Amino acid sequence: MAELLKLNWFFVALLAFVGLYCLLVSRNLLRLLIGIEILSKACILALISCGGAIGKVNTAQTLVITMIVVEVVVVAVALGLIIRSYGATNSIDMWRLNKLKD
Amino acid sequence: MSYYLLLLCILVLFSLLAATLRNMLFAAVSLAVASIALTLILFAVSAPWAAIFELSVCAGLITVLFVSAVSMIRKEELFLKEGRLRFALLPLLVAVLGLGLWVFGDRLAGALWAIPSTTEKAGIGMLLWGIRIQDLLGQVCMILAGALAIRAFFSKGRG
Repeated sequence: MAELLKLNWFFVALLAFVGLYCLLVSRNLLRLLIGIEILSKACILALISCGGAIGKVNTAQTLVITMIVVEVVVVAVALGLIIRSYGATNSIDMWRLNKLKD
Repeated sequence: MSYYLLLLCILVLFSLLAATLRNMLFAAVSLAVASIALTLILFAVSAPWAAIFELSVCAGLITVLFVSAVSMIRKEELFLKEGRLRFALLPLLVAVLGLGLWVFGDRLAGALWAIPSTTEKAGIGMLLWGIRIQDLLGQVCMILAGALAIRAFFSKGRG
């Protein structure tokens, strides 16, 4: 079990890296949200690994449940914003969200 | 061990696909597959409640939200032209990161494993409904705030 959880750290770092990379290079608003989702998966894996390492898996589970609820609210609100902004600008390109400059 | 490693590889692979696929529908489905892999990982490390939440909410609800958002957006917009050259750098950067972790990872993980392990007496029910009841109040507030925000976005008021 401990060996399995140690293995997680490599993959937590990889996932966090992929999520951050997605956030940095993408212009598509939907893909930015996917990047946030990938980052949250890395966080979930890290939380459970920490819980397993110190023998408190149940506490880690309660934190993960809270995190998932927050995550789904964030995704729903962000998708609502994206749809509204698409209605206003007819685009989901982040670089076209510059109307406030005018 | 090999089953667990396979699940971790599937998780990272499908997350990579979700981050790089040009078709947003396939990207959303890849994210769902990554969520399913994470669910199986959580089951494997004896965290069934978190696994059930991950499966029902992340692999189910969030995928439905993504697919419905994709269906509302024109196809030309979904295939937005992005600088693919920057994505081509990804494997190289991942290789550098992997090498760094290979060299320094044990030291980093060792810092965590130095914390003494304790035995947990409280069950998940006692923790969720007793010790961490404030978290549940926070969750209710978050859900209410989200519902109000969505209502504000799509209301047909005077604006």
